[in-house]
Amino acid sequence: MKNRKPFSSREKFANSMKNALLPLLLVACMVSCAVWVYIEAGDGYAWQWARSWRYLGVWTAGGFRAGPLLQGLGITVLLAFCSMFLALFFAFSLVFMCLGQSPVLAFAGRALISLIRNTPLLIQLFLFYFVIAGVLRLNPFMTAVFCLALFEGVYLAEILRGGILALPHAQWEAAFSLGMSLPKTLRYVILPQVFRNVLPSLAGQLISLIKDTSLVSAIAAADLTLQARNVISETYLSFEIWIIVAVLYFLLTLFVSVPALIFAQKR
Amino acid sequence: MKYLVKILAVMLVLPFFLANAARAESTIDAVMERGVLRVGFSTFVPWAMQDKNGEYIGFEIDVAKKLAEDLGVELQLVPTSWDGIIPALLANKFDVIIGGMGVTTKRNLTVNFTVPYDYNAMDITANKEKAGGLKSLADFNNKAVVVAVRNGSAGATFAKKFLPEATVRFFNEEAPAIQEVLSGRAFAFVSSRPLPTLEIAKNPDKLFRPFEIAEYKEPIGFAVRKGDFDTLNVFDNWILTMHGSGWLKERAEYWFMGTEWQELIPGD
Amino acid sequence: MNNADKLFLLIFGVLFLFVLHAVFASVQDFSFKRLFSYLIRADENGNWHAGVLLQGVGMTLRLSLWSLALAFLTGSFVGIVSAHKSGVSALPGRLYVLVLRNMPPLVLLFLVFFFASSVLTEFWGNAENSLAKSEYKGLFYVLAAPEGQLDRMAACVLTLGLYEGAYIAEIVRAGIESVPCGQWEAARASGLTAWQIRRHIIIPQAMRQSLAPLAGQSISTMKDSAIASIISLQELTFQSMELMNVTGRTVEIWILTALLYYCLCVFLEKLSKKWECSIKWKPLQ
Repeated sequence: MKNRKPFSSREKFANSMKNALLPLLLVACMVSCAVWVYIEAGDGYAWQWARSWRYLGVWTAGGFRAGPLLQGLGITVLLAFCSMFLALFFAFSLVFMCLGQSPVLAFAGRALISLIRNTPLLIQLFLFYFVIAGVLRLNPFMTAVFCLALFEGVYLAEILRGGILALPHAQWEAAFSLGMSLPKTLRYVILPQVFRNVLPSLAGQLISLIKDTSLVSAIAAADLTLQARNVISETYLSFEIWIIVAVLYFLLTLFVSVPALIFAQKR
Repeated sequence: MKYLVKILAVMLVLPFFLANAARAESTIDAVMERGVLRVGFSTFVPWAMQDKNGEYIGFEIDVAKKLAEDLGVELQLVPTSWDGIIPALLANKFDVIIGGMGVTTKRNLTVNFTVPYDYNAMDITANKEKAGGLKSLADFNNKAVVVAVRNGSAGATFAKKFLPEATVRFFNEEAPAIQEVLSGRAFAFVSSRPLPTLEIAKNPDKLFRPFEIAEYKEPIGFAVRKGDFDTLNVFDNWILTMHGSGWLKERAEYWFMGTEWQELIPGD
Repeated sequence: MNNADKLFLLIFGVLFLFVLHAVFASVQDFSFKRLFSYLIRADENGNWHAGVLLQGVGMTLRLSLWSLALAFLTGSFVGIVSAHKSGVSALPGRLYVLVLRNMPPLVLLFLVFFFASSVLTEFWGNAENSLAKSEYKGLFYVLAAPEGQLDRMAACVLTLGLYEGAYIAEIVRAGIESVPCGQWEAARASGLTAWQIRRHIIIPQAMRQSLAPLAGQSISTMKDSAIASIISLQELTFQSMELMNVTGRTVEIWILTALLYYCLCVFLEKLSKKWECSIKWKPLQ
């Protein structure tokens, strides 16, 4: 698209430096804005970082003992993990319900998807915990796993449905003409392709799931946000603790999104 | 393009020259100059709550109104969620928190508290079916017992201190915590008076009071930003005056002992 | 209907009845009149006022619409500018998206409201004062933010706008990158400049691709506006929590709130489907 003249390697280097200058400057501006906001807003506020580190963990004679924040982080990771697996199960069930032959199942699937997509997760958590989980005797953690899985499963179902419908029909026809049954077709032909295509979207949903776990503090599941609120109500170190929590969530989601980015670029 | 680069380079270094000097005016001076006292609070029944018309009423609201009246300024109420009330104070969203804040030493390291204008007495209500046989604090202090409290309330502090073995569930609001006890999933709900009494009156068939919590009292005071002695002095002396005149005692009795105010709130 | 269908119908019927039973078992003293009074209320003179929950709905609508406007602006700009870039040039766009998408919106709102807005406190104070004196006060209170809530509304709109803008940037970028390269080359050959190409050729085609995800993102924005309750902006979630705390009627108020959100979101969904259809079937000029 650009006019390509033969450049010497020194000119090429100078060109790439010039091209890199504007973006790098923009990035540096964004960083300096953030630093400025920190300095300006923290003006007149006595930062008490020294009191805050112990809530992450302490080094004792026996080794490293995790503080409430790290314990909460562990629960959050466990919650996200369990929910993701259950969500995949729900997603597949919903997709087969919607794309299947039975009109009753298709209607039920679409109604469930519509209901869950259009109501906030917080209200769903409350209603599920106080109305249904009471009868089934589920504790807050299991309720949280189930509710999150249902919520994310609906979004995953939409993604999977889009992925399956985007495959050329020839794939199905070729598989059937080879004599493969439906389960075999799905397992060996359709699903591997669908997964490869939708993996970036799946990673995006996992990130959303990790962020949505912060809501389960409303039903008293002991995740990172609840522990943070607890520590803050004891010590009133709001700014310091919230910044630490923000960094922890950021690192957690970075853990998922960076491999997904690399995978997407390799394709 | 070249101009763009130059402008961006200037934007990069400019912020560091623009940082302001620290604000040195005391809060009370700013209030008198502005003519408005901004009070932050959070909803706690019956400290502060909305009546049928959406206006705020309650013990804290009465205290705030009297304070503004005595100072000779207008009152601006800033309802804030409990989570964000301390950051809001530190970010100068309002001048003082009059919201049933329990004074503890750890909290005192971040904000300044006035002398107490009231004391939080604790009370407990339990589910009849689940906790029928439990009669004392020691009975509740074991792992099988689930206690529901509101995060950040006096009840939470009490539960952490006196019920360390019990399984404590922290909710962000009182209503879910009470619902937890009503449905039988938690054994008991601990909070400051008079909320447990009100709940027992609403649901006498499901709830009861297993025992009285007698000696424990948490002082509550106004919260102001640190380093501001003039403001603290004015508020301290105002509170002592109100104690002396008996006004605070009369208001506390109206809101915490009586039930006439219940007609003003929606819901029945 | 064959036998399998009848069985499924039976199972779903039983499940539905079970849920209904669980709901009514946990509600005492149910009253439609009282629930209706939370929506619309008559005071002593017989005048009708919007109830607490309807006021919350109004605030949620204001918040969602203003944040969507900001989000579309930011997101489209970042998406268009960062499409087809790689290496170092892609860095600003990718950084914006990466940082904002990987933070919980709750924490972002905290940081913006308590941190960044203390930088702007005096500005909002002056704006409110000068507004209180002008004649357009009433209109502003209805359209933008009621009295005393301007700084909170502004912080929420900024946060939600930036946060959803990151998602919209990705959607727009994917839409633009899905337009075939041949379009760019042909346009270049016709002598159009880069911005002209984007405006007349690329963006109309990219919009068809991105309309469905954008509609989904608008619905997410409306639901994400619930985080504004953390800084006590009196939107629907905040009002329902307050009401629930005062009256103690948890289950009824949650169900009512869920219904209100459902109506709002389904309305938005139907609207965007209609718009999508009209755009998809309009011939490209």
